Amino acid sequence: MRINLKILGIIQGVLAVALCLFVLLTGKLSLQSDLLSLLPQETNSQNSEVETHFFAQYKNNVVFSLTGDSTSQSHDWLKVKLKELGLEFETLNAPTLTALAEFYSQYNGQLLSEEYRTQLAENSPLSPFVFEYLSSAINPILDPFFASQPTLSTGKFVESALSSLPGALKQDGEALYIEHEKGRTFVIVARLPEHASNLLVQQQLVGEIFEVIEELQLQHNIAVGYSGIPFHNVENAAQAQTEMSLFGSLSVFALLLLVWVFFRSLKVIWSASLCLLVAMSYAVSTVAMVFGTVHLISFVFAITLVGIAIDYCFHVIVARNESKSAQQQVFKAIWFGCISTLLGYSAFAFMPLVFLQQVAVFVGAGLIGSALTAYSVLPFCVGNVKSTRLLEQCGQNLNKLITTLRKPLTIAAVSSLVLFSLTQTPFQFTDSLKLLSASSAQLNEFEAKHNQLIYGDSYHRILVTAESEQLLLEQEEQIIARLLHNTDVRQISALANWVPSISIQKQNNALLSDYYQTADFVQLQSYFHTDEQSSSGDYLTLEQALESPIAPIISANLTRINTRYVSVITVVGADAIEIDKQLSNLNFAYRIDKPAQLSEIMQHARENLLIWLACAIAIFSVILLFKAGLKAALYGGFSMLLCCALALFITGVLQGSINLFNVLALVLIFALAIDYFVFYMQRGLKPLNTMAVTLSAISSALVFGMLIFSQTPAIYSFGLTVMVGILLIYFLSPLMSMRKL
Amino acid sequence: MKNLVLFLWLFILSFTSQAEAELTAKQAQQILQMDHIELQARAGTFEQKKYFKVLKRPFVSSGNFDIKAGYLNWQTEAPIQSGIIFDDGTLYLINSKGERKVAPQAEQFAHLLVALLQGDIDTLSRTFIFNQQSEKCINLLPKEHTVAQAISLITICSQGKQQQISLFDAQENRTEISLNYAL
Repeated sequence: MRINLKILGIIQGVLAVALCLFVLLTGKLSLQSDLLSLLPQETNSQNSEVETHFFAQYKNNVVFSLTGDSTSQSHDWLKVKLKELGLEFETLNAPTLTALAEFYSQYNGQLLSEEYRTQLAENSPLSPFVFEYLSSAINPILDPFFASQPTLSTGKFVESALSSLPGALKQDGEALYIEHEKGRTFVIVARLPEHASNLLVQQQLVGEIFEVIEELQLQHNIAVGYSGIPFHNVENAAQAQTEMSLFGSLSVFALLLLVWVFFRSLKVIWSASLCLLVAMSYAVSTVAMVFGTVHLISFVFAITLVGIAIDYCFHVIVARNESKSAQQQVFKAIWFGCISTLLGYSAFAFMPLVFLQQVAVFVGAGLIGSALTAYSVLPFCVGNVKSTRLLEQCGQNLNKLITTLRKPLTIAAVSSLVLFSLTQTPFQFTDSLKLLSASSAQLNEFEAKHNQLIYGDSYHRILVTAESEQLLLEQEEQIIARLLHNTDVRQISALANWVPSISIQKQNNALLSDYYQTADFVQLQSYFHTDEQSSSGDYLTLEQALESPIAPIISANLTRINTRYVSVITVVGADAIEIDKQLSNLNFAYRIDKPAQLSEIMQHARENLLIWLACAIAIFSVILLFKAGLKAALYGGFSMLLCCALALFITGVLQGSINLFNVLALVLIFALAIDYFVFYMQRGLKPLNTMAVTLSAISSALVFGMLIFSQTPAIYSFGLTVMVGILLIYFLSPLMSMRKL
Repeated sequence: MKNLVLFLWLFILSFTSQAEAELTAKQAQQILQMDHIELQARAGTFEQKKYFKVLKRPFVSSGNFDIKAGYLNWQTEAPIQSGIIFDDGTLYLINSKGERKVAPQAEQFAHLLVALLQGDIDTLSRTFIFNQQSEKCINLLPKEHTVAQAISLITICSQGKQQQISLFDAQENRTEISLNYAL
C-alpha cells in the first residue's frame, strides 16, 4: 500500500514538473502587464462594453511634450526617430478652413449657431453680425464663408463648432503645439504599432524610445515628457518582474535557511525543495491551462504560495519520528488545513478583479500539489529525522511561554482593540485603481501635465446612447441645452455641434426663410454682389458627415454597438455634481467617471467580503458549538473576530486607511487561523506540534512580510495585513484550542 | 554687344535678388524706422477699409486702439460699435450689444495682430519672412501653413507717426489699416 502511494506520489510529481516544463518551453503561458486588463469588471455589461471600446482606442497611444531650446527642430528630429521605430502619428484631424467652407456651404440655410438662432428668434437684425465681421482686421474662420454667404449664418455655425473643440492644442502643418508666454511646447501624439501589444515587444520598443529621448536631451537643452498606457505597462512590468524574482528567491532562500537552522539536514532541505518544486509546477501548469495569459501582478501575489506550501512539509517532517497514529493525525490535519486555505483563496475567485482569480487558481493548485507530495512522497524522502531534540526543547519552552502568557495576551489583545476603537477616528476607506499601479511619480506627473495640455482644465465626459442617429443627435441637443442653461459650463464638444438633428435644421430653415423677407436683409443685400436666397432644403445627416472632411473630428467620439449608436460629449468648466444633476432623469446618458465607477465596484467587493467573513466566522462558531459546546464556540468565534479586527486596526494605523486588499487579507488570515487551529485541535500542545505550527507561522510571516517592500500599494496592503494577522493568530490560536474540545 | 547684354543681365539679376532678398528683423526695423524705438505702449486712431470681391464698395470702419505689452484694445466706433480685447493670452470679442465672449481658437492670430500693431518685428519674424517692397515698405510672407490659409501677404509701410498695414488673403481680398499714433 505504502509502495503504491510512493509510486503514485512520484508519478504525480514527475508529471506535474514535466507539464510545467512543457508549458514554459512551448510558450503556453504568456505574461502581460496591461494596466487596462487590471480594471475591475463592471456589473452593467452594456456600459462596460461601450466604455471598453472607447478606452481601447487609447491602449497603444503615447504622448510626448518638448519644452526648451530648439523645440521645433527637436520635434522634427524626434518624430523622424519615432517613425523609424514604427510609431504612427496622430494630428488634430482638423480639416482646413477651406475644406470646411466647401463642405458646409452645401447646407447653407440649415445650420445656425445658438447665438444666431437666438437673434433670429427674437426678430433682431443680422446686420450687426456682418458689420462686426467686416470691422475686424483678421478673421480666418469667417473669411472663407463670406464670399458665398455674406449673412454668415453657416460661417458663424462653423465658428461656434470650432470653438467647442476641447483643449488648447494647435496645429501647424504636421506639428501640434501649445502657445505660451515663453514660447511653444510641442506635443507629439503617437500610436505604437499593433504588434507592440505583446509585453516583450512593448518593453523593447519603450526601451528604444527612452534611448532616443536620452540622445535628444544630450544634444539640446530640452525637457521631454512622455505618457501613455504603454509606459505605465512597462514600468509596472519591470517592477513586478523585479519583485517577483527578488521576493521569490529571497523567500525560498529564507525558508531553506529556516529548515537548515532547525533540522541541520540536507535530506530535509532536499525534501522541502521537492515539495515546493511540485507545488510550483502544479500552480504554473494549472494557471497556464486555465488562463493562458497571466498578469505579472498575479505572480507577485502568488509567491505567497511558497510560504503556505512549506507548512505541510514542516508538519510531516516534525512528526516523522512519532507514532503511526500521530502521523495519521498530521495527514488528516494537513488535508483539513488544505481545504480551509483553499476555501479562503476561493474568495479571491469571486472578486471583480481578474488577476485575483488567477492568484486563487495558482495558489489553490499549488496547495493541492504540495499536500499531495507531503502526503505521498515526503515521508519516504525524509526518512527518519535524526535529531528532534532541539525542536522538542524549543517546543517545550514555547508551550511554557504560551501557558504563562495566556491571560496577559488575551487581556492585551482585547485592551488594544478597545484602545484602538476609542482613540482612533473611524478609518478612511480608499479603494481606488491607484492601488494596482506602481507607476513612478514622474510618469504620473507627465500624465497629468499632458492631460491638461490636451484637454485643458477640469473636463467631464458624458456617454449618450440611442437607437437611431437622429435620436442620438436630438438627445445630445437636449443635454447641451440643459447644461448651457443650468450650469457654469464653458465649453461643450459634441457631435450635434457639427451635425445638428434634422428637426433643428428644419427650425433653422424656417427662421432664415422668415428673415429673408425682412427690411434688414434687403438693406444688407445692397452691400453685396451676391444674391443670397433661402436654401434648397438639403439636410445634413450623420452619414454624410462621416464621408466628409469633418469625419476625423466626429468619428473619434461616435461608435455603433450592435443596433445602438453611442457618442461621447466632452464638457469643460461645469462641476461634476451639476452635470449629474442635469442627467439624473435621462436614462440615455450618464457621466463617465471610470475611477469613481471602479472604486465603487471595489468598495462593493470589500463590503461583500466583510459580510462573507462575518458569515464564515459565524459558521465556524456554529461548528464549534456542535462539536465542543457553547463556551468553545464563543471563545473560538471571539478569538477569530479579535484576530481579524486587531489585524485591521493595526494595518489601518500603519497605512492611514483601509482598502479592499486589507480585507482580502483577512479572509486568508481566517483560513490560516483555521489551519493552525486544526493542528492544535488534532495534536494539542505537544512540543513538536507547537514547533511545526511555529515554523509554519514564521515561514508564512516571512513570505507575506516580504510583500510589504512592494511598490504596488495593493500588494503592500495585502502583505502587511497578512503578516500582522499571522503573528496574531500564532499567539491566539493555541489559546483557543486549550479549551477542552 | 555681348558684354553689354551680359552686363545688363547681371545688373537685372543683382537688382532682382536685392529686391527679393530675405531681410533680417533688424533690417526690417531699419526700413520701417523702428530700430531706434523700444517696444512701448501705443495708442491712437485707426481707419480700416475692406476691399472684398463680394462687396459692391469698400467697407470702411474706424475707431481707436490701445496697445501695451501683451495687451490690445481695438475698439471700432463706426459704423457699428464692437471690439477686440487681447489680455493675458486670451482674445475676447465684444459684440455690438457690448457682450464679451472668448474666442478660444484665435490666440495665434491675436498674438500676430498685437505684434503687427505694436511693430514687434522680432515676434513677427517667428511667423513671417521679410523682404523689402519699397523704400519704406516691407512685405511679410507667412512661413506657416495655418497662417497662410488666412493671410497670404502683409505689407507694412511706415512714415513718422503713421503706419499703413495691408493684409491680403488667399481669395485676393485686401484689408487696409491706417494707424495714427497719438503716443
